[in-house]
Amino acid sequence: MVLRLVLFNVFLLCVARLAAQTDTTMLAPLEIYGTRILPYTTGTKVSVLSMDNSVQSLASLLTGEASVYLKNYGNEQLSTIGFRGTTASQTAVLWNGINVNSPTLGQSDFSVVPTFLFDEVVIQYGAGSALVGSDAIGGSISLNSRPISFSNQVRGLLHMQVGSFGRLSNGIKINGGDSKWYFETSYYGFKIRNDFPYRSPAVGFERKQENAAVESDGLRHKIAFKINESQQLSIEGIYVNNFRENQPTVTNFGANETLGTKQYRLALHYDNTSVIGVLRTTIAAIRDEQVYTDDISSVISTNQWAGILNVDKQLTRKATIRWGASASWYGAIGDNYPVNLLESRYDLFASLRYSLTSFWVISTNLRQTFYDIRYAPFAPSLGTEVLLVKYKFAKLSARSQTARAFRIPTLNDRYWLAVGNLNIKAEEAWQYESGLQWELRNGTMEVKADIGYYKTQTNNMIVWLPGDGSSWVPDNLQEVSVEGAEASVTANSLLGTTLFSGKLSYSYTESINKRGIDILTIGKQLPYVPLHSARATVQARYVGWGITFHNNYVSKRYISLQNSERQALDPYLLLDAELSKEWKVNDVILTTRVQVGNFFDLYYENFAKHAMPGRNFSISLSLRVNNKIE
Amino acid sequence: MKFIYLMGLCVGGLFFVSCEQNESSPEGDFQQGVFIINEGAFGAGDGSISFFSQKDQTVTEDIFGLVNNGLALGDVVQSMAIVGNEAYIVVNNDNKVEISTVNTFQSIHTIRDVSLPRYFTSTNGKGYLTEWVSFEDPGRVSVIDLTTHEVTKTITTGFGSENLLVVGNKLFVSNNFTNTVSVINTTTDAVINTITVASAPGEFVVDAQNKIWVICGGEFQANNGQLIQIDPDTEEVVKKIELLRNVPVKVAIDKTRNYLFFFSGKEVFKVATTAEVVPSQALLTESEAIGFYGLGIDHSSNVVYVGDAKGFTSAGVVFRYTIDGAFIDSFQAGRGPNGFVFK
Repeated sequence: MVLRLVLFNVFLLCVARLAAQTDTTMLAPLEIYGTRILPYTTGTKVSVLSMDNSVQSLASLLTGEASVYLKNYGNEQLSTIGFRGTTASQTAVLWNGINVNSPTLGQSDFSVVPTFLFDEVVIQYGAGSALVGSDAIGGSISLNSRPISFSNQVRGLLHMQVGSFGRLSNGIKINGGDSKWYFETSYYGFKIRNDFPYRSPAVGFERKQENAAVESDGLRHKIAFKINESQQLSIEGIYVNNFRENQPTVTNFGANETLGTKQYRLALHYDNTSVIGVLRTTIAAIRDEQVYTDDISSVISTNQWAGILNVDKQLTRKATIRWGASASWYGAIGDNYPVNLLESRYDLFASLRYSLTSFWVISTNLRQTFYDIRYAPFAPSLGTEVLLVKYKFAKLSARSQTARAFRIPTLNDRYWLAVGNLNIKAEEAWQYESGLQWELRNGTMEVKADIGYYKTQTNNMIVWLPGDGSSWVPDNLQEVSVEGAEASVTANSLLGTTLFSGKLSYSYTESINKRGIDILTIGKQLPYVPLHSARATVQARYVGWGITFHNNYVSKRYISLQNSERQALDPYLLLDAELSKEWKVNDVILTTRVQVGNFFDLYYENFAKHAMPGRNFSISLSLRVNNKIE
Repeated sequence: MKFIYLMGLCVGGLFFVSCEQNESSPEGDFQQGVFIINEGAFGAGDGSISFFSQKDQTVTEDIFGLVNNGLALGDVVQSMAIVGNEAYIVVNNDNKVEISTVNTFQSIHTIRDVSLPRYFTSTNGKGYLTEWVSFEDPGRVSVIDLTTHEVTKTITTGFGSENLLVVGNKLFVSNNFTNTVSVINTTTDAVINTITVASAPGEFVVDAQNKIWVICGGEFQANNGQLIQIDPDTEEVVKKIELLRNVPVKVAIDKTRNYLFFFSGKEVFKVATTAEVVPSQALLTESEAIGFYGLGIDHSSNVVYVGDAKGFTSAGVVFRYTIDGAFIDSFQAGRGPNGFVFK
């Protein structure tokens, strides 16, 4: 609260200064392509991660984000997200603008999403339902492709990695084309035995991890055709196969559970630029198959078909709009779903970004989702960014957003045989956030500091509890209030020919249960939400050499809602280190990396009684070829 | 944090005082009282045993971890049985049985070569452990040498071997995934009979007429749970009481052995062994509870203990009632309290 007051005072103080500002050019030219969310995220915190072509899961990638907690059930095992103190189903995961969270569970397993098959990951912090639809209460994660450039060239990449506990991965990418055609193919394979030793206090002696091996491979194809200067057609397909032994608890003997998942994604895009604007239409099919085996197998598969129509238009120099509609159909096949289950969802949405002055921009997003024959909560958002002060090398800006977000009940909540409840309400949340950003840039140095505050109130949260008889039933029982602060500093500095860079980020997250479950749980921190979380990275680069240190701090986490201190997971501070060398010969770049994970060989857990590996090593080699065809 | 096991909580008007390891008496802290079996959340490995002393009105959480420097019992602590000076703690999803001294709870031995074990009992100097084995194989009973703690023989029964009861030289085993009870001769350790009861049989009790009662959960969502009386001599079903609902397969009997207790949801039912039908009214309904999970009656005081698992989202709570259903008090347990052992 104090922070909020300070922020408002800063706002007020700076309004006076603003009047004197005239010559600023804060607004960067807009890039409009695909259904990228960026132009309309005004007032929120966004980070864009470009993929570095290594074979890793989205779970590993996101461990660098201080506001994200990944509950991993072991190394490369089931990983669910807690973004800004919310639950695993309160983060939207989007592919080509389509929500790909499991329609039955309403969440994603981040360990089976390979970053190798995407070019860019956009992380929007906080309530984003007005922009991306259901589930974006804690935030949204968009898996994107880079915009296609039609030119005569061929690029290739080869990646190989070997590491501790039988880690072996390889990946290959080829893309290229001419002025009319573009093609792209990526393939990766990954496996790990995961027989790492661990020394858990709950066991008392050193053991080797059993039943935790993982194997995965995946493929992406993309073909695009430029019909003419204003029209383009593209098709993209992804297939990912993952098979893992489910890592048991540290105290277990003789576990044999396995889980096989297959993901199929297919999208066809047609883009057209005309007086109406930049039109993008997408039709997509998404299929997920899951085979869980514990002696006997159970199979669940889900299907999703989606159509999206999205129009972006620059109205004036100061205003851009986006509007559109989407329709999706969801089906689930399994023993616990009605036969021929099919649920439809429709969305209508509109966004406006408007520059009031050269230093002040606002965005508003509006979305109404319908599911089945019901209205989801109407989701508006209003965000603003103001350039407060600008000097020759430095500037200070402020941002703020107020938004409503929602989560549509899952197919399990609505249709699980005998107990699913069609009348269960959507979860809904209101969020307020604001922040300040300071930037310094001169010839040899660049510093960015960002500080923010947010508050989220979520109502009608769905929980499954024992009903009157012996079965469990879903209900809109819980209310949670999250209050948090985020701070980060990044700095890059060139000293002679050595580039030093560093990033420090910190998140404070109070996620408090306000209603539901039981009287003893009111006022308590949600399980698996650390109060403090911090990341620090320092890096030095010198003539192709690079050395990097990552630190990852996570404070104590409770594992149950009454906050038992006895069972809480201990805080940890991990250190990873990396040494790399890059060679360039004409169009060929060869990079080799040596990585040490968990340098201090610390025993830690992200989910109760599930071991994470101690010190581990890997070495990788990447070969990139960029060949322009004359 | 690990070193401070703090029990100073105040629930239902009871004041519990702290109980620290260094105050342990040489004979052990757990000589007389109630062991509460806290199953833990499936896959979270946080099963534990709490100890409630009726005399001091204190509860001590996770006594196994407390005594053994933070060792964990493991994943899905299903049950515990006392044999002489030893406690056999059956840890279902970790495929093991932990053995500790009962009075001090010092860890002695771990039996590992068992598969999805459920319940333990002993007779004639031999231990008997039910195992589901797997979800595709028939269950079995393993005979365990109480000195070496080794499995000496396995006896295949039916799918989902669950609870055990010794009457004379017969061992009755409920096969929970079926509708049968197997009878084993404890001299030859061989199955001698299979009795058909009703769907999903579970716990047994013995009544004042020395007849056995077994509770059957009923078919999936068919609301046809039953209490079934068996004559242990003839091995035949004597009587059936329809429960008109699906029930968890937990049953307890009072001190006089004339009244059977079972539960469903937040309700506990009391039915006379002489009854033909189940009472339409529950003995008690607990508004503070989320869902009952464990049941036991202390025959020294005739007090009814009921565990509320709180949907496994937080610590469980144990409610205590008189035999007539009047609330006495409640206290916090570990996660998922599923049963009680009275000593």
